Order: sequence, then C-alpha cells, then structure tokens
Amino acid sequence: MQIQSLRTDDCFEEVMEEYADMIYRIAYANVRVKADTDDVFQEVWCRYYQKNKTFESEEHRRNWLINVTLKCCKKIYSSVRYKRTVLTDDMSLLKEKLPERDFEIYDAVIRLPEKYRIPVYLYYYEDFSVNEISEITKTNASTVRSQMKRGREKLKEILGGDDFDE
Amino acid sequence: MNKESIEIIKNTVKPDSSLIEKTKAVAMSKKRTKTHIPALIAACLLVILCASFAVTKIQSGDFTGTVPVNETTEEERELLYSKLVPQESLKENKIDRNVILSVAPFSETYLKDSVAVIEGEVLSVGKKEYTVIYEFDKFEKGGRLTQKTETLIIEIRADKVWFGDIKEGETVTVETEMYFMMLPAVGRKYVLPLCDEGKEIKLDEAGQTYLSGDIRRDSIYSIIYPFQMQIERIENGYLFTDNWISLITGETKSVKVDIPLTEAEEEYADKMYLNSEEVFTEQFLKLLANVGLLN
Repeated sequence: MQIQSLRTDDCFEEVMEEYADMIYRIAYANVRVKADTDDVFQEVWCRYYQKNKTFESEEHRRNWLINVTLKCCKKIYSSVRYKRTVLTDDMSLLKEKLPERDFEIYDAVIRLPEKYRIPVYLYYYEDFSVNEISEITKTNASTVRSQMKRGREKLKEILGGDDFDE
Repeated sequence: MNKESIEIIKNTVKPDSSLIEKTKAVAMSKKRTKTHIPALIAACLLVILCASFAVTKIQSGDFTGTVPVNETTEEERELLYSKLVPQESLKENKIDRNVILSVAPFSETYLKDSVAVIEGEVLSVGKKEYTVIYEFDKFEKGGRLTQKTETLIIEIRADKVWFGDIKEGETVTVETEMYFMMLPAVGRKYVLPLCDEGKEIKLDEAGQTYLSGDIRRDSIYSIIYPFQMQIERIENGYLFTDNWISLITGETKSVKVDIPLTEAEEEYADKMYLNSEEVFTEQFLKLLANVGLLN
C-alpha cells in the first residue's frame, strides 16, 4: 500500500479507502452490534480528520487508527447504556455464510473478555504479529503473548479442539 | 479457522457505501484542531515578502513609516492550560479511576434547569457513600438488593451569585454524582450552575422499593452537568470548555489543554477557551437571559 502523504490533509479519502474495511471489522468484533459499529466507525474517522496528525510512517498511521478504534469501542462497551442493554448481535449473515465450526470460533473469539479478545482477534483474523499488536495496544510484547496464551486456553475451554494451537 | 472463512468475514463485515459517504461528509465538516501547515508556510512566506518589500522601500527612501516587529512567541500565540492554572493540586484532585460514560453531550439549554448559578472558591471536597437496601422484583419476587452510591460533597463560598436566592458570602454545600472528570480543587474558583436534586438520593431503577439505609442527601444542590470540567475563574478571566458556544466571541482566546489527561477526560477537555472578565460577564449574562433565568 502506497499512500503518498503521511499527513491527514492530503489523502483523507485515500486513507479511508485503504483502512475503512479493517476499522469496521475491528469495531464490529468489539461491539458486535451494527448500529454501534457504525457509530464507532464514524467517530474514528472524525477523530482522524480533526486531529490532523502527521504520521511518522504508514504503520504509525495504521496503528493509530486501530488504537483509536479500540478506544472508541471501549467507550461504547463500558457505557452504562451498553451494560444495561441486552445485546442483539447482527450476525445472521455471517452465520449463513461461514462453515458452522468457523462461525462458532469467530463467535467465541469476539465474546472473549477484552484483554484476550483484542490480541487474539488481531492475530488470527487481521494477521498482525505479536510485535505489531504490542505497538497498536501499547502493551509489552510479553504481555500480549501471555494474553494470547490465556485467550487460547479460554477458547479451548469453550470450544474444545485445537483450532487455536500455536 | 481457515483462510477462506477469514475472507468470508472480510467480505461480509464491511461498511456500507452510504456509511462511508456519510462519514466522509461528517468528518470533513468538523473543525480542524491543528494549523494547516502549508497555510502556515504560505503565511510565513507572505510575511517575509512583505518585510523584504518594506526594507527595500526604506532603503530606497520611499517609505518613512515604521515596520512593526512581531515579537510574539509561540507560547503567547497559544495559551497553555498548564501555564494558566496552578498544577500542584491537580493530581490529588483527580478521581483515581478511569470513568468512561456514554452521556448526552452538553448543551447550554441545560442551564434553564438551574435553581442557582454561583461563583466562588472551593473550601473542601469530600466523598460520601450511601448503602441502601431495597426490594426489587426484577430477578425474583420480593428480592432484596443492596445499592451502593458514591457522591461528591463540595463546599463552596458563593463570592458571586449570578442567579438564584443564595446570598453572597454564604457557604453552599453541593452534592453531585462522582462523574467529574477533573474534580474541583480546593482553593480554586469556579462558576457552578446548580439544580435541585431533592432531599433524598434516587434509586437506580423504577420498581425499586426502599427498605433501609441512609438516603438523605447532604444538600439539595447538585451540578447541572457534572461530566466535564466546570467553568473556572482564574486570574486572567474565565476558562471554559468549547461547548459553551455562546461564550465564544472574536475576543475569546483558545487554550491548549497540555496536562496529562485520562482517556475519559480527553473526550471532554480537548480544547478550552479563555475570556476576559468583561467579555465573560457580558456573554454569560446574555446566555442566562436567553435561557430564561434572567430578564
């Protein structure tokens, strides 16, 4: 991916085109409700545009966007409203399209507690390395590794099988 | 999880084109928080060109006026919160938990629910805990639940009463939910719009029946919108958050909040403004009149 400028001004639409889908997927995996995902999506891009940052590298931009997405999601799922809302997941389409086992795995991953969900999701579904996750979440790589290990154990407890072995 | 399934997720979980278009429109209609660098460079070039032109004119004898020298420093152009407000007491006055709430954004129209608007020095800040047992049928018939509520008790001396029946010089106790992102600090001065919350704390949900426990509030007064930094009186004037839109005039100065903030505070204190006493007084009185508190 080659976006010409590392400044927000010059290439807002280009950057959005590049990262929109990924931001949306990460948001969805964290808030699980389409309306909330849409809200997070909008807030992330509004913040991106408003902050008007100059990034050191393309990775820096990508990591910043993901980090802000995770913060916006956290704001939603920590909210009083969210805690008091019975979640109605909008996953019927995915359920239809995915093989049953893969849907169960995806469903279990996005229902993990936040500290396990984020590293496990980014690693397995967005293909980020442990070091990249560590940079995105501003957490030590060793902490990310142990969160992933614990996350995998939890998934094994829930699902059985070895789908997430290292 | 196989690669094909991940591709299916990628092709299914994606934003609608209408959402993308709407987001672009909303984002690009927002105000930028930083200076546009090319514009800044262009402005600098223009200044240099004008200065060169003026120097040439002086040397050639065509120009007898004086060239104003711009000695404004970067700090003078951008006011910094840390320079305006003493920082010693800030840390100990911050709540030690990261409160993240989803609340309705502030609107100046909330002011119309005020029973008083006072300005004065904070004399003390403390916490109060309530433990109330109540009956609640939601989970089982005749079920008993314990509700714990924490409030903040602020004692403030009303040096100035903008509106309401409170007497100037009176010490007012204000009791409010623990939602402050930045607690009012003892010894500092604030403008607090107050509402009447009643004599007893409210139960969390409808259908609860009070059984036992202390529910008597220390004060009927509460802060109208406790979810953001309150208007603060400082030596140079009044500091306020950017959602007090009626207070912003051509003379208002922008203040960069350069102290470390928690994630929650960032939401509310991204930007602040400073008005001189004269401008603030004029605008605030107009606002109080507009919402119907003053004639």
